[in-house]
Amino acid sequence: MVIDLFRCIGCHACTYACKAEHQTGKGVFWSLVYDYERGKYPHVIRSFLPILCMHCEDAPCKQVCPTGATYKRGDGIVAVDPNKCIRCKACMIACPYRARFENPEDAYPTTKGHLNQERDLLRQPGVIEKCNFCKDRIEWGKSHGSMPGMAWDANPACVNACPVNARTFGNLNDPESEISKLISSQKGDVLHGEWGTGPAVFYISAGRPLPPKLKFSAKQAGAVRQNSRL
Amino acid sequence: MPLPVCKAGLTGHVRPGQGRERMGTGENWKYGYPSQKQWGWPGAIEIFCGGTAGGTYLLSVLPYLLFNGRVFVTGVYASLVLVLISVFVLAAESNSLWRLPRAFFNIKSPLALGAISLSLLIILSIATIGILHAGLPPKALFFVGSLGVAVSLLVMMYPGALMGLMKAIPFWSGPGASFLLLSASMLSGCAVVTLSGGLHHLNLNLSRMTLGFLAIHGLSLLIDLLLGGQGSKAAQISVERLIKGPLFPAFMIGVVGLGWVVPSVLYIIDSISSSTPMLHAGSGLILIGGLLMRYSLIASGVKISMLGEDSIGATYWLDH
Repeated sequence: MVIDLFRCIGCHACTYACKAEHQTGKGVFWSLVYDYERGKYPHVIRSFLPILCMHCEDAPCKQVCPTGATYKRGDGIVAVDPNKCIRCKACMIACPYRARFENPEDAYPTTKGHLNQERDLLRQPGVIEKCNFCKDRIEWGKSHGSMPGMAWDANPACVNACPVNARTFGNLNDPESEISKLISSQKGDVLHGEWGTGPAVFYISAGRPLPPKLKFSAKQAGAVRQNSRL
Repeated sequence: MPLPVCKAGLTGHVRPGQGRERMGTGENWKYGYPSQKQWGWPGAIEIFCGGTAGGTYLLSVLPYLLFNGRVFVTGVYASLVLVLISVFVLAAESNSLWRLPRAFFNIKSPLALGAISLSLLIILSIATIGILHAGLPPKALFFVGSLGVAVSLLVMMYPGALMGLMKAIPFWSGPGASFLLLSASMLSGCAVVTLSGGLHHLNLNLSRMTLGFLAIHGLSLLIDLLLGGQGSKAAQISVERLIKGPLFPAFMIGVVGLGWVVPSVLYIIDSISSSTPMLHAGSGLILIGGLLMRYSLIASGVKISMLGEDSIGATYWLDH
């Protein structure tokens, strides 16, 4: 997945789409958007950082899981088998991206998704869960002839929900895919690549026009605020 | 003029004028990350009991293996009780007991190795006691004891190995945690053997050995704190939490004061003028300090910020 930091407006549509799709419990966010305010008034900028499971090549959560509940699929998705999770929470602590959550006791999602696709595994209360790139949707879409990254019914819910197309999904191994082209042309980078986890979520914003800095002086900004109260 | 790098969010603490990280729209949190319960006292008790069991078994059997001495049976009983407590706490944390056998499956995980070694220690402790009571040949005792010593070392080291894998928590990552927990476990083992009457049953100078382990453990703690203090921002915050933050009472008073300084003084006094009550008092304090040390280590674990100095956030937003 590629996320365009310049396009992201912090609307949290992805957060809610993910919640609706997977019926996650209270306090559980498989897809998050952190927002930051930087600088001092009047030169303040608000920035957004969407975070989800990075589906790392060398996933720390998979290394520490004693039961093998966290596993890496052939297509690169790091998934969790809730039937094997013993709630030791080692994966929650090991994940550097804070992408894992404990399913609350009173959350009990249904077995069918919005496409009426079968969810392959029911997530019991207490198990640790995280973003799985909507693998159920991907598999349903592929079985109906749709290509992930190209068709809405084979895309993760967050990708479809984004109103500004900040998220792009596709095959990183295909150099001709849109996602690969975006990463190479926009110099995509990963979050905390120095840890060597090999994330599969890239961020771009290079090559785009930057938001203009506020040019008001503090006095002028004060006058604007005063007038706006009238 | 470049804007300052966002520094908030490591623990949800916000400083005016700097960046803040706000989560979602729920009423349960304002800034910082969603709070989810992770490891706490149960983890500390489990690591403490497991490590102490390993140290106790090793000290109870080693004199027989190396010096043709006797096996300290009470120590083996104590080790068995401690490892059973450790396994009980581990099992109680799980959401379903019938899934627990799966904890042995992924042997690449330190937790699975821990589960295997804890189980083996139970079996070998029972076997050791059985062999002693049944009067079986010494070769059987030697074989079981040797296996038990190896398994004890695994039990003592697996929590540190698990913590060492946590790149997300810089204070834990690396080999320091393994050595710290190993030295702490040996020290706790000495204390348990002393308290259970091992002073006169083992043909080795237990009080001198305990003093030696106190020195090693103290040095290991100091090195870990120094390295953490010189490390990344998150590691520095972990150290600050321990030495002057919310963990000050547990760490500085409990671990350093009661768990190290006072026992060291008591053991030094004993080496000058032999005094068994001093040794017992010192051993009790060592155990209290050991439990508090595990808790402090777990509670001090602070995750690295999403926007670290070298991360994508700093790179793209620093100049805006």
